[in-house]
Amino acid sequence: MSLVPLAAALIRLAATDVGYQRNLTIATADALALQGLVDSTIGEQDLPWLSPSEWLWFLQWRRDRGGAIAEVVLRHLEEQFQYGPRYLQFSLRGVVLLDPAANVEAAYLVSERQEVEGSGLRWLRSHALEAAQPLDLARDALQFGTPAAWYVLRTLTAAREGRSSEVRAWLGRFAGARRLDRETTTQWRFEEYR
Amino acid sequence: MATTLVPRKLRDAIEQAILDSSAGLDDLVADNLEMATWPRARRLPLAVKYVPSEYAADYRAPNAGLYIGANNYTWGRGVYVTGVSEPLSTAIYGRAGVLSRFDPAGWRAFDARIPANEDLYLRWLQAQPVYRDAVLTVHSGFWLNDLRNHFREQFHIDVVLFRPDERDAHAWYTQMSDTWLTVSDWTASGALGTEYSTRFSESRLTVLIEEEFKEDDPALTRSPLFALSGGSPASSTLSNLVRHAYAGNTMVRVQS
Repeated sequence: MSLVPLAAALIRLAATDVGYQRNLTIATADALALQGLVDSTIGEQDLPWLSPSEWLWFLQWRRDRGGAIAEVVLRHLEEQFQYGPRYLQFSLRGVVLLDPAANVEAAYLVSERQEVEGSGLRWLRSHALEAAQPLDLARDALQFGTPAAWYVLRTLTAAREGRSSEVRAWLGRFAGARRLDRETTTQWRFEEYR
Repeated sequence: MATTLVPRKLRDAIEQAILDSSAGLDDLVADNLEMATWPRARRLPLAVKYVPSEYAADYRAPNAGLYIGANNYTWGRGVYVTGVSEPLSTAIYGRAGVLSRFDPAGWRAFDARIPANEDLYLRWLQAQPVYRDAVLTVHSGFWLNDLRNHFREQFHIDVVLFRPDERDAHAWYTQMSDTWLTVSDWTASGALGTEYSTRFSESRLTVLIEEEFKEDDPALTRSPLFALSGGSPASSTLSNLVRHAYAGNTMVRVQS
């Protein structure tokens, strides 16, 4: 069972104050409390307990403690931040682009035919396919520069994705301006499209 | 874990700056060594971190160490300390001065006190994919702190040396020529760590500040609330007194 409702008051304070972050660390020294916040499944019923920016902070906090991606929260925040602000879109993407499990899986997903298994990459894939501003997403992926970020670029540049030519052209200009080597840019395409 | 996507020439220049910055770190280490105490053969440098009074008691007994600060500090997420040779420099942030030993052997430093290195950082910043959003939106402060984290992660910088960017209203405690440090902890995947730092050891409450500070509005300075002596409590002997106190497991009380 998620302990988010019980811990919501402390999470709200910790989201903006390092002193309360420390108090949250102390409060979760107990294994059961930590499990209830980091490993437990978060459901729709938990969503009203925190504001979107508090959820964003909490997802990062959970990820940094090895917690699983909470897909229901990602979808909730994706809807909230669909039209901005840019910083919150960037931060939300960073939750998954820096997730260790998503990055391990992304490193092996070099073909479009391979199935995505983890919840983090599943969300990234649909997020890329549905992105209203694909170039903003491409910029964010380049900024994080992780295997999961390259997976986002692979999805955005896949030939069957309708906007792929626009993204490919922009990535070409980006790489050319920085004289990036082919070893790096090859990772931005599925092997079928290299 | 993260790849840096800047032109090779800039990347190489930053790597060279990191190599060159080791001289500044070496000097800092030499200026901040602990007292020689038997049977300890090797002297390590001492760092000072001020914490709010509510955490002071934690450091009077075996403890979990120094807590890693949040993103919204000057160089992003990290532990912010000074060397013991400038023992009052960050007393504006709390009354409890915690001393710790640290071992910087092999650390990669970035000396941001050097204008040429600041220039390199700015060139790196301008080359970032999200640079326009970072400087042209109301959330610039958040973006820029995140990007400092990215910079430190991309180049695996263990410590940034920089000049203070806040001080007490009368400059009795903080001198703008002091050196502040941002120390990184790392996760297994090469990201900046959180919670308690593993970089510092034997953290003990060693300096107790009588003065209390409040943030001025806007928070460009912090003003002393007592200012009883009407001057600075700093002295040429204070640093050594603090080193002795740490070695002897006692405390130095600094009057307002």
